[in-house]
Amino acid sequence: MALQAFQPAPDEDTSELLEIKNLCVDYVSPKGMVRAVNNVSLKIRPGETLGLAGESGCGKSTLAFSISRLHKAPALISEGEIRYRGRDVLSMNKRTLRQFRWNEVSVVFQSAMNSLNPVITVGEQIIDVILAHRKIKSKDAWRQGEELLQTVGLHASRMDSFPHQLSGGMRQRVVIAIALALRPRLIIMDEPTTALDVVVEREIMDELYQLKDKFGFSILFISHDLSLMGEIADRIGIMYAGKLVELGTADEVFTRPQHPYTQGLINSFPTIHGPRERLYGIAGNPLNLLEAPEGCYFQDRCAQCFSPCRTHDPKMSEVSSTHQAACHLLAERTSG
Amino acid sequence: MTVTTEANTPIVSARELSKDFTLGGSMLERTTMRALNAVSFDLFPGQALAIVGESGSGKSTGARILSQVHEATSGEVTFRGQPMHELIAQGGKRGFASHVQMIFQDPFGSLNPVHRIFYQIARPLQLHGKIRGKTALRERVLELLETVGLTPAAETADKFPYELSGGQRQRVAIARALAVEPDVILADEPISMLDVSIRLGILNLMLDLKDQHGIAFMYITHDIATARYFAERTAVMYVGHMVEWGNSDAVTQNPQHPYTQLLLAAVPQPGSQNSRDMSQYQHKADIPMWQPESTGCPFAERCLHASPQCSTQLPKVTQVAEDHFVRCYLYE
Repeated sequence: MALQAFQPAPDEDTSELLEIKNLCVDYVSPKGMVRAVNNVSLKIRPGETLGLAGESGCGKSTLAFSISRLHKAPALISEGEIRYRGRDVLSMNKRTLRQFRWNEVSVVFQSAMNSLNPVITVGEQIIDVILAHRKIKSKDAWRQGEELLQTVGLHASRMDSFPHQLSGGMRQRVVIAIALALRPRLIIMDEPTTALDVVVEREIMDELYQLKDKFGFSILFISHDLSLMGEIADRIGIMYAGKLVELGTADEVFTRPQHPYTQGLINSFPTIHGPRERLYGIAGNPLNLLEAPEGCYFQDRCAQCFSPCRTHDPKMSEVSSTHQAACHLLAERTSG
Repeated sequence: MTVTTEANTPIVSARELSKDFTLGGSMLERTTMRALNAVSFDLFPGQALAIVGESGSGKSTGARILSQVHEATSGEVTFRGQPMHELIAQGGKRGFASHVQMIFQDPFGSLNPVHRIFYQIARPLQLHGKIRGKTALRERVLELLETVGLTPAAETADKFPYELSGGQRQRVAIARALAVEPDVILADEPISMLDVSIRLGILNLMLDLKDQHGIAFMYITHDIATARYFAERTAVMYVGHMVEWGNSDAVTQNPQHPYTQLLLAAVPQPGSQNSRDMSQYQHKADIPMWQPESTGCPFAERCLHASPQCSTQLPKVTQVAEDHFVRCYLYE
């Protein structure tokens, strides 16, 4: 049992597991402030998989870090709100934060395979998490660890293995087991399978989904691999240069993408069965946030850029009740 | 035999290439791993051959033999019909390198950080004696930068690598490979470290070079979808063996080898809902380490169709269609 169960705020509506409102995260650099996450608002519902896609430097990992307040200086949350089951995450004190992390929200990091300690056994690393948060005997924690390994498809005897004795896929399974150890309601996965081969990636994703059905947790899935995301996410958010530019159900984003960046991104992935023809993705290079222009950040790479894009930052507007995008073309279409 | 013309005469032919590596430190622990086993392939001018496989499948080893990083343990490579070792004996390593150039995965590690872009491209031009005179050199460098889409070229030439993005650096690496006017370019995962939005630009640039300059490409990748996009022909590798190869469409749309079928089933496809049960395609087993004394088909243990002979003798090459070959007993 938990030392102290994490209590949601009593009077709040808990239909949203996590709500992020107008979040801004800045990096302080010698060349000036860089807004890595710029006014992002989104919600994660219980049991849902929300995918967050975008290229490197678009702020998707920074967003993930700030949800569990794992961001470190020079990163700084300068504006906005993060509410978890109605409770304000940004105002939590150290003790509450400790209960919140891993009990409620766990994180599988990018290159998770290398996030294991090389000099202690897998078992010690798993029970370390359990013992830090639960008042149980280490023998029971060890037994729980063995069960955890079995849930992720590894043999219980692997408790005695060192990380170097495991393959990349097996190490990734261990990291997922550790993330599951305290039965959190939300697991943040930052590029969890990027370093793995496609067959192993498929096996791990399948197992993860079986576990999700069993335990009912939500996933915030961060990746640059839009094809994988289109397959596993319920909803998809697209980020560009720190801003959320489009958000909708996976089907909406894939079949009716509204933002030119989303359209370009989807067209950048050659398909395995579609027609074999030349594709034109996105022109230009990713934006340097130190040289962020006035207006839409995507203007220089956008083929459909017109005058308002140069002066006004487009706001998120509704395409349907579940689908929003931030592009001036939308307003143009509805008014014209 | 068909009519022999420029386009269907291979510029590079590798026959039965094998490469062994010795592992382990002390005499007692020493073992030999076979990274490449009896691999044959041809590269044609103006065409690309994609080598697809998981990490450790030996897909880079073949390219490293062609680029003289490794020496083959057995087998032969011919360049325009002449054995590679003879050419190296005659024209030296650099002479051979002027025919075969490489593009690497990491554009952050493959450019010298202390030199300007001009130097990075001028260097191979000077070393290979391609150009005389300062003005001619500068003109040629700028021309190369324009070819790879780095405009304005004069401005780019004066920059340092750190001032460029990953995609731009990879274009510099491509310009550097082009500088010596090679016949063959070996591209080892050239886009896997780049941002998704610029990968396609690099692939399209290589497509243009292939078509316009008639360069033969070897495109090494783990992404079978880009293999089909870029390359006319695709070879699938598993544990040092080429298990299936031929026309890219034939291999991807009509896969014959059980491993190719597994690989294709695992590729994510947006729209198809998750959980495609991989046990329909394989038994759970570890990927073996191939040794010179290993026998049979490397996929036998994971294969759903394996018969006893699969673990005793390597299947022969079977032709299943005009340009489609497979090493599997199911088709013998």
